[in-house]
Amino acid sequence: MSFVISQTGRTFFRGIIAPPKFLMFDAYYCCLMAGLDARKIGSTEDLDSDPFLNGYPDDFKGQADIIAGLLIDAELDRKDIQAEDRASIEREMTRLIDPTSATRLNNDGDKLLNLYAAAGLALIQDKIMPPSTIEEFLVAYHRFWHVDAEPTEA
Amino acid sequence: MEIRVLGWRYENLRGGLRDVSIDLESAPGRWTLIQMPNGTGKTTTMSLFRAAFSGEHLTPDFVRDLRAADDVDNGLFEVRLSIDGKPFRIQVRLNFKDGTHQYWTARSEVRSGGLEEGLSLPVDLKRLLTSDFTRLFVFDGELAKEIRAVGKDRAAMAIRTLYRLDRLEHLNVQIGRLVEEQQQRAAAVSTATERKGVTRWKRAYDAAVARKTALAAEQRELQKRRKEMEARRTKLAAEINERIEQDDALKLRKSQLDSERETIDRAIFEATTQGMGVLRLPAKIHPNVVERLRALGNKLTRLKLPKTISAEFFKELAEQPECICGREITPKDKAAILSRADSYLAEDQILVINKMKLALRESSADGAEYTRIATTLNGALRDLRRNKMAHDQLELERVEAGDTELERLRAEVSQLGRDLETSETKLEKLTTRDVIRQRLLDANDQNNIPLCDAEVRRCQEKLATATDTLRFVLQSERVKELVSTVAALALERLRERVRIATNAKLVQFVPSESLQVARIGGSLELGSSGLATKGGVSEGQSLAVAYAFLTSLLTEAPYKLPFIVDSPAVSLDTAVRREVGDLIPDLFDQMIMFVISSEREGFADAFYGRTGVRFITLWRADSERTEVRDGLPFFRSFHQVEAAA
Repeated sequence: MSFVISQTGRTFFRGIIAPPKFLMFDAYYCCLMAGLDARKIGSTEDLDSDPFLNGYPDDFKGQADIIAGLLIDAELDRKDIQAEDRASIEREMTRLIDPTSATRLNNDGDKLLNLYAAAGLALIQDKIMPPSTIEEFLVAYHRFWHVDAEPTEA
Repeated sequence: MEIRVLGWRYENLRGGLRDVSIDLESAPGRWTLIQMPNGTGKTTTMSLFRAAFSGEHLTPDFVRDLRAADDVDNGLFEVRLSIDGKPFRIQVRLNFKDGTHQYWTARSEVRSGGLEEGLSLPVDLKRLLTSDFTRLFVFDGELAKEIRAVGKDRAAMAIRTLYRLDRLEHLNVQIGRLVEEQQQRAAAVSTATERKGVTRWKRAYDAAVARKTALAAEQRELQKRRKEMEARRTKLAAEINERIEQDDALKLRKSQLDSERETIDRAIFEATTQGMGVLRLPAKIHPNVVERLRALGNKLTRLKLPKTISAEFFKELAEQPECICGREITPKDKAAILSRADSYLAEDQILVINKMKLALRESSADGAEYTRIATTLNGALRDLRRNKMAHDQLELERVEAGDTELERLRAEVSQLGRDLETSETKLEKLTTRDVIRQRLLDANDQNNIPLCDAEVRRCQEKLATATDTLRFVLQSERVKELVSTVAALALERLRERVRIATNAKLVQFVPSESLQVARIGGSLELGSSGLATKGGVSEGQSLAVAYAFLTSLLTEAPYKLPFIVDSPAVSLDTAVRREVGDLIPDLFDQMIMFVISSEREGFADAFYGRTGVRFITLWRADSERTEVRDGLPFFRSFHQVEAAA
């Protein structure tokens, strides 16, 4: 599995990437979660960079099943597969799952993760200024997810 | 490779070191404590040890300054070493009249065993013992500060040198040379027309490489300038603080603000750490995520997915002569079963999905924790802004009261801020790989390193095509890329390994304080909360960090080196001193420690009960003569003699 974050993404997050406190993978993962939630994928042209990591960092290894599940859920929605369409749901799982991979996903699944992350980056950039500290980003990213909720204290 | 110091000798050196010899061979010990009062040549000895190991150039002034007295023209410092059990003798011969020096070496490998001119250490060792590296184990107190100083790159450089990562960089240079040679050979056998093409692309290639070198130099200069400006800003902040503190009322308010700032910083640090832990769990980001996970888990359960029949079942069935119902399976049936079997999940896929389903259904977290942390952080950030404004207000009040110097300092800080911004923009234009930023900043191959790099590669490919060496060049580029990746990964992993070991040692050194290395970049970056507002770490803490780093680095190194240190505990308070005294003896196979009498308490006394310790006292009996005495009793009681002398 090779995770790709675009040059634009690297530029956006450069103020806070400081391993081990904030990894490049943290940036990628925040984008991925945003993309999966929005059911949006980017285009391959968005991935104008080399992979930055192969396989999940230690902190995320326990989340492989959950992330794979979120990808399948997003794909079912994006493709408008109905909840009772058992055959199509099973086909999607067959298409994406590889039990031998650390991400539980095959190449198609891995590529899709990168595309969801690319779309998520665009969504984040729309709402958040390039962060200069991790704490600012944590607040802004929370606000990004809770856009309809009551604002936190000003 | 193991290096041990067997002894050393001085001739005609200042500090009464006219004819003094220290022999560690006759009664070898793991630890040697040498008590030398101030003024008897500790600093000189350390400098000469460094010179003897690294073969560095000594300035004429330094050499002349070592002269014992006007009646001597020559001096000597000689170190006896054991390198993997083989004896070596290194001499630094000093000519005081013309300020010159020469290195001489005697080694057992040379048949005569006599002295030969030059520093002739084993090749691997000679490469390692650069002047900078030698300072790590012939330990200089200044280094403790530099290891933490941004811009000095001491920490990264030490890891790179010790683990020989520079050899990987050298390998890439050699590959580059091979390519050049191959192209020259190919160009020499080309026709006239072909040669024209080769010349044209060679020029373009050379120009692009020259441009890249110039841009890299510009980048270094800008980075250096930026570091200088940052250092200046820190200094200005300290000066501004000093001016505020001249007014008692403002000083009191500042002290309250500083204390409040410390609390805010701590709250931010703690909430950020918790926040990162929460952020890394998808189920805690937002309630939607949990709902979706549960819904998918339930959907799969309702649809009885995954099915219990796997693809393997049908593949096996297709191979049988008849079906389970007794009907014959014809070749046509077999083909149909096999083609449809792939739409069923494989057994291992079923296992994974079941595991996933369980994880999805059991997702129980919600978004409340993240909301609580974000609210805390938001409040703390708001407090931080208020605190900064209140601090700024103090400065303004002082300026209004007529402090023109403070006004000047504030103006300089403000100008520095603008200069730093300009510098950042220039650096970004020079280095950005982001296509959108490149376009916005009007970057091209004349002013942007990645674009210039691309141009170098383009010219190189054209040149390679012209010289018919394209395949060779492409392969060499692939190898170079691989070597660079290996070097980068190795450095990253070694940094992390050394960082973890350093932090483990710091817990032992200073258990009472949360002193931890957050990152090893060029320097050691500390991650403890509140340090910024406390005005950084103390000298003792700085030394503890340096010791923890050095011991972690050197004890795991492929080379076993002696550790020679001057006044190891003088800047530590007694509690820390005792911890350092208890801990460092086990860290090295040979330690030579130069101490003064005040370091006996808490530090040297930790060695009194140990076996394998040599205690040597060296003092100046009169203006001409230095005495050396072996043994613990004299070492312990030396202060009376010192006082009498």
